[in-house]
Amino acid sequence: MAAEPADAGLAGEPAPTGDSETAEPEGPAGFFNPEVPLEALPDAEAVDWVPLHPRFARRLQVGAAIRAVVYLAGAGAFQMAVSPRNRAAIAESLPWLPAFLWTALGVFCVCSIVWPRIAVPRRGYVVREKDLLYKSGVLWRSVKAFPFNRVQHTKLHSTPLDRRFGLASVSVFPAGGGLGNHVRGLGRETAERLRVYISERIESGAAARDSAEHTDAPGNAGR
Amino acid sequence: MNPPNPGDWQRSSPFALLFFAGNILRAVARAMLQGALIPLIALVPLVWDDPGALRILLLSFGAVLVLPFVAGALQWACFRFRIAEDRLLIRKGVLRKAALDLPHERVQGINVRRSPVDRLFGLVTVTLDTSGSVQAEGKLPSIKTEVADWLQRSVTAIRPVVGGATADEGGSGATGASRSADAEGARSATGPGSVLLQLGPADMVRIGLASRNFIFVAALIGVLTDLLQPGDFLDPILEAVEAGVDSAASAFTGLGALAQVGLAAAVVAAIAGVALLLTVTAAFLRHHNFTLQHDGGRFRSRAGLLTQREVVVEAPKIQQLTVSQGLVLRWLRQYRLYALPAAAVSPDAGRVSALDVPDVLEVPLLDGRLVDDLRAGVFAPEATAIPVLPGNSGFERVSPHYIRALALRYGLVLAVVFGTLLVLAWAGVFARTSTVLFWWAASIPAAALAAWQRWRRQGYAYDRDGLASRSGFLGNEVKAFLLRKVQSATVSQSPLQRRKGLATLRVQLACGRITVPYIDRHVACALRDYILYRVESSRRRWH
Repeated sequence: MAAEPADAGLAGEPAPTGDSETAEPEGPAGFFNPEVPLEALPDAEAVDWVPLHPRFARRLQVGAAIRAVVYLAGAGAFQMAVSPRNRAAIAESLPWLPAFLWTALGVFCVCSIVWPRIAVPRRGYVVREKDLLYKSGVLWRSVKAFPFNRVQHTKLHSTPLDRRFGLASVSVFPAGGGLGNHVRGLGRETAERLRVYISERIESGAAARDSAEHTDAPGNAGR
Repeated sequence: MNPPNPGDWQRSSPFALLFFAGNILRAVARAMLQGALIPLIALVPLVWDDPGALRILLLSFGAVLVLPFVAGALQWACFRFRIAEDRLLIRKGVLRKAALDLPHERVQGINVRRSPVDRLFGLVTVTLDTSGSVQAEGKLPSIKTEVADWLQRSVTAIRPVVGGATADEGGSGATGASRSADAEGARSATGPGSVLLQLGPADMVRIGLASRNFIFVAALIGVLTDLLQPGDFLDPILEAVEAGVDSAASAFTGLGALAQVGLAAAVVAAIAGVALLLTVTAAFLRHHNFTLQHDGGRFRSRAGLLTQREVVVEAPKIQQLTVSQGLVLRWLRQYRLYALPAAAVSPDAGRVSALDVPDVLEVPLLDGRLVDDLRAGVFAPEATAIPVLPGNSGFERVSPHYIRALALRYGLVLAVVFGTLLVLAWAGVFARTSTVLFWWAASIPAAALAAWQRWRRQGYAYDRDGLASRSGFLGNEVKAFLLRKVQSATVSQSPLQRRKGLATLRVQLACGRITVPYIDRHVACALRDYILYRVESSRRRWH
């Protein structure tokens, strides 16, 4: 019961139904930590999302089309490889099977080519002063936040197809790994600027932390 | 033997060759398992009749066993280290030379492991825990105990425990820290290393009983005995037992069925007994004489029957506390605790490599009071209010819609499994269609019940500094962490969650991911924003 957070209103406050009791917990003494009104915290949803590069959807479609050609060629080769005896057996017992498989493959290929048109407009990113936000998802939507002072290093990479469209991706690596920490589909210059910006933020953060450690080392009072 | 000046270049003991050879053997075994083994086994029948080829194959097998020791000897010969005033220097490598320069101030923990050979000759293997993003690089195999002590002293001299200072400073104001200090005092522990916990033989039995492997081992033994089928040497015993039972049964006519039930029970008890014996032996091997010490800001655990392990973790380095309680532990009113440091991450892969995860501080058996003390000790002046015991009433439940989502997920899995079975049944390969349908129908309430149980276990709690998430099915597991140690945060919504105004909060820590599913969307967003605020305004090191 001691666990009932004294600031139960913390999360409830922005909600219309949240109870308004905001009993201030006794702050641990010994270090400086100004109170921040919770409604003053910047909302990570109410931002102007920057859309990805306009050519990115087309680039994904081209990639999907190339993959579709490979799949179809593979399926065709497989069909050729089936021996006539087996083909006859299939035609006799399961006459609908080849048509069904081909239709399924065709529908899958068409969907994967159309999908970027639907998915890409719903992706976006924002660079704030202290973090990078990335939203994605059509049905399952998510907003990821990467604080710059937790980023270990960054990476800029582009596939040959990306370069053909003048695109690049930026990956950020916080400690502990985790997958999908990248923003795909940026213009090449944008990506490079973003990478440089994040690197600068990392360094300035590290410098600030170091100076904080040196100035108030024993008590570690700096926050 | 005159002891060399510890400041000079020196080698480790020749027994370190066992360590090097063991490393190579492990790598070879892993490579074998990953690919080379199956072709090799396939080769055997091919060359079985050809004595020449067979000899070559056997020779190469022998080489695989012998070469690591030769290579290990070479590596030992090329391995040198020097403990300078402020740094540890290592020169190693036979062909590819490597020179390591490890400043003491980057060392976060000194973990010590003593294999039986090491113990026989008064040696230790030291692993220096560096700052998390570098894989365990500072390894000194089989060095003399005095040298290890010297190293430990010089590291501590350069690097007084930051966390200890923090804890002491904060302790004046924070109730939690002072409470833990009181508790330590109550345990009449004096001096720098106060002993928090010591486990004896009776505890080993309890650990063995509570082991997760217990059921598994029991099932394995059951299957094995079933496969061996009263064999050769068990037969006479079983017959004798049966004869005895028969004679007893004939004395009490009509008790034949009862006697059979009794015999079955005896067999089950025997299987459980053997399984218990195995898991208790494992517990003894791993946790014998377990001692947990707390000095300054460091936690130190020491345990092991043959190979002794000593794990040292500085409180500020701990990313996450995991408290788990299985059914048996719950019955014993005990808990199991892990303190996870940042996992070693290779900078290229950006993924946690399972091979080089630093030593995790594990406390296999402890009571609730000590869990609370440890929580206070680890989180020091922060997060004094988050609960870490699963039974705490401070946990808030997640939305009941979670049950529906889980049931849907289980239902999908069941549909795939039983759908396949149904197709097989139609084709006449498998059991009758009606049987499959019956079991499908019977499994649906079970899935719903399982979803409900999972929801009952799911919970979360937070205060201004930390967050705790509880989950589990039969047992319970609580993961607690400080908000400022978060690496990245994600709020996601499924279509169902969007309709109901719910969301899932995921936070990535340096040691893994924690999920709080199906909470109010506004709560999730506000928590995410608050976590970001805490992370971005924090000037403290997270590791």
